[in-house]
Amino acid sequence: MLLSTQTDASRRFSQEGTIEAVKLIAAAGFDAFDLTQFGKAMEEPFFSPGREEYIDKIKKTAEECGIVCNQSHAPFPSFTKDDPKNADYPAPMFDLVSMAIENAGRLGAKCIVVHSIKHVAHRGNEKYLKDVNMEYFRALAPVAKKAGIKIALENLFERDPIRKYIVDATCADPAEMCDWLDTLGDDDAFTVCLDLGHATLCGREPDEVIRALGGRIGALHVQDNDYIGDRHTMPFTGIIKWENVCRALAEVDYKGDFTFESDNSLTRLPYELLPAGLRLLHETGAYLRNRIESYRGK
Amino acid sequence: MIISTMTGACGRIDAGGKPAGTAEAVRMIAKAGFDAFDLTITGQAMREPFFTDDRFEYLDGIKKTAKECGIVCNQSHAPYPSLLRDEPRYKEYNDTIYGLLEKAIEDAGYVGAKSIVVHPICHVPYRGNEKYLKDMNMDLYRSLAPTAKKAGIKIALENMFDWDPVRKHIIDTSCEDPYEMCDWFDTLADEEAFTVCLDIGHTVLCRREPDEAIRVIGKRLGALHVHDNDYISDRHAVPFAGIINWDNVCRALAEVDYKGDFTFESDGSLGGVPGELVPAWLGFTHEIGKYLVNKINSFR
Repeated sequence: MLLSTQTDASRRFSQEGTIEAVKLIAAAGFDAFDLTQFGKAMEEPFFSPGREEYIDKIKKTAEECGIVCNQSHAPFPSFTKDDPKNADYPAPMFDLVSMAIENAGRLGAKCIVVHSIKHVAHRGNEKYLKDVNMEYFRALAPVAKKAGIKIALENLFERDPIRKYIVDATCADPAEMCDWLDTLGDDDAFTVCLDLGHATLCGREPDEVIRALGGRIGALHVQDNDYIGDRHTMPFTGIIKWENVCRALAEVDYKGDFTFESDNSLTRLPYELLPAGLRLLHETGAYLRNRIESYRGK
Repeated sequence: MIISTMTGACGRIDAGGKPAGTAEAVRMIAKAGFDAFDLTITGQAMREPFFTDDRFEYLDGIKKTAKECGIVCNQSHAPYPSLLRDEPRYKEYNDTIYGLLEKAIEDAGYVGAKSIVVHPICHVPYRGNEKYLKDMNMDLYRSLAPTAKKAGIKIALENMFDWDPVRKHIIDTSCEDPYEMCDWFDTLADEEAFTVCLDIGHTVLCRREPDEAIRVIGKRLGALHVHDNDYISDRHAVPFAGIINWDNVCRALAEVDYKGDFTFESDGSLGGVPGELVPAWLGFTHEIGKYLVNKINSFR
């Protein structure tokens, strides 16, 4: 099981930030990195002409550091092609996501998380959202297959605008996630990325969701929270029960990687303290991986 | 500048089913690179023999461990609160707490700490009771001064906060206003027995910036409780896990020529951590401490 973390927080300090991030992540002991292609990372040449050269430069750095790219995260939010919000981006989101898929495949990632379209409230629009997303993901499938990578569906949340608390969005309900994946019916192109933190925000325990998804889980976003806000902090800084998570992952014989999406524990660190923060994160990952292995076969 | 952290959370971590205890905490803190430890004599640590007749033998064990590990005790924290409301259900506590404070002061002095934080009494709503609380606390602290002097240690007053039960947010109580802290310290007028411990996290909960409080308190500042939070709750997290501006804090400490130690009270970051990861967290905390002490020195 590879230990991995996102390049997001570690790429803050230089122009070719991802290259620096790969070096920092490797130095901390990680086996792999999750290529961030959203937010500030979009300022790097991931979506411009000549992006293949930049990706190759990242790949060369990774090889020199003895680390691989196991996973990636596409830009978000996702929009339908006719959504006027596409105009807020340098290119239509579908094109950006397609390029991100190609980038991640070129780097050797096994999967890339692509957020589902959730432009309307989930409750009452479940069928409509499913139809929209089936069309969306099926249109992206050929891009993924050509790039040799799977698209990972992630469990998402939204905020009730009146009550102001977090509620289900697309695929938060593991039954819906299973239904969508089974409807797509293409294991070559699709997998599931379970965001452990998102599960708790929507009123579920992560271990229950793990068991419900079973063998469909191909990737993880590992992060902790207080069951109220999407904190994205490292395990044991929130209240998720990690023993239960590890036990459940062993029970379903999870074969994917252990990828952190907990960079909010790193984002405020000054540059000088980033290596120490990454080392702590790696030790935490090593501990949890050992816990999972200890539960296998029991 | 000595970098220190509290024994509290390390001592709580299970070791073979039992709490590890202060001596083990001292070992872990030393191994992580700290120069000193803040002896926790509050909460679960009160189950250790800090208040029994044979407590000095226990303290000798802690001293011996510290010496073997090359670490000293720089600071301590007495049991709290220092008084509860005058209600029948609190009688037993109120009848015994003063004796515990005296013993804690003796314990900390015996182990070699320079100061021990003793919370001011803040058992009634602050607003409207400022004079009453000052009078009570002057009595409390003056009565404890001989014990402190005999033990060779100073009592540190700490800035405290309270909770508004109607509006549901944190508010000032005793000594939170740095001008009140200065007034109380100056009224006690005994630098041999008293000093000020500024809890950096508490200042922001009460709508002040820590650097402002540091400048107001100035040379009276003898100790710190270093921790971070989100300006809403008393998280006691490590620096950079919250939103306190640490550059500003370091600059202010340099400006007032702070000569005390850099003592973390950030065990909120350790609370949920399994025993196997405590050394990694202590190492991380120590690195943060080194970074911030370097920052302070760079501003001098």
